Amino acid sequence: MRVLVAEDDIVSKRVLEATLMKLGFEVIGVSDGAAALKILLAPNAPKLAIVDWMMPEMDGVEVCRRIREYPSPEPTYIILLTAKADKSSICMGLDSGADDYLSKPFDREELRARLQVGRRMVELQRSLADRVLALEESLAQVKQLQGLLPICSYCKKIRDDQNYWQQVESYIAARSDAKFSHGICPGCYHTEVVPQLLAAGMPKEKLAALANHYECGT
Amino acid sequence: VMGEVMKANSKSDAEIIIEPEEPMLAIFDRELALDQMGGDSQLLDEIAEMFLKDSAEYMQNLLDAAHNGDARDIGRAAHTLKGALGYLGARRAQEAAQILEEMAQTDPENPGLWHAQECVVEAVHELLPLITEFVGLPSSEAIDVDRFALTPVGKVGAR
Repeated sequence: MRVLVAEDDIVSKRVLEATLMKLGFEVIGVSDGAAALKILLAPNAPKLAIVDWMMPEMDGVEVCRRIREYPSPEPTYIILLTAKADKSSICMGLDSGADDYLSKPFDREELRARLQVGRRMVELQRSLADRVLALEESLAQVKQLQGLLPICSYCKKIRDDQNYWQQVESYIAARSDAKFSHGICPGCYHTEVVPQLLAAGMPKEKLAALANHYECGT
Repeated sequence: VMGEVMKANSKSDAEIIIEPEEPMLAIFDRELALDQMGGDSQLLDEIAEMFLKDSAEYMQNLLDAAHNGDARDIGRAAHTLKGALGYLGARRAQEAAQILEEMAQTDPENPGLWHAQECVVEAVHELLPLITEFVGLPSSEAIDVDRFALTPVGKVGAR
């Protein structure tokens, strides 16, 4: 998984990058908030970010605020890196839109654990976004079958947008994932099939056996 | 001056309270530094060299901020320095930088600010030869931090 690191101090940045690479992350490093924001707002942006609070150009809190101005189905999980350990600073950081915070100098195990939470959240968001997309696509297909359909009262053909009369099954099949298997219902068997078979000379005993077969629904 | 924590609560030099700190913090805690690197001694070497290379810049930023009389910049420079020192296990200098940062942020008018800054310079002065030795460079390679020592310029907080 890719993670953005925004840290202006070269020593802290290098330690963080080395630690993240050891944890198996692909690191994208920048040295100021403006560069971080540009990357996080770009298409295909990393969904995990560790942003230092105090940075030139734009601080980490402002980066969080700006990111949250752009709602996304897959929001970036932001960990604010800070040496400010007092409660009001932590609240301010979280209120700005950070998902979590980490004290400097960071503890490696704590970083690993917090990144694990971030990874879970990102994967959960991605899974939800995929499901929402699938549902939207299904809904779009269902909508194609909604509305007033002109259908022949006798043959049950449906008139399409091009004014052609189509068999109901081909009409529906073209507009959904539904597939049809053909059979004969008991009613149609008696009114349509039996007279044709009698006319063709089929013996009544054999007809009775067939009727029994259909009425059993097999 | 090092080994003391300044807690100046008034604007007058006479009222600055100096409390001895205990216990004495390590100048360079190698075990702590190695622990910060997850036991990766190669990374620690790299970070130590990086710090040596950039130490002049760290100190210059601090000096420039003081000369400009901008407490906010002093706080920022101290903050950045503190972060780097923390990874190196330079506990004494880290503590000094933290005090300077806090003072710059919470009490920028305090005339003791320059003194807190001197504490940082002195702590870094103690640290650099140890780091230089650690990375295997001759002591002559260490930067001369004396040039970053301050006089009570009286500019800080006087804007």
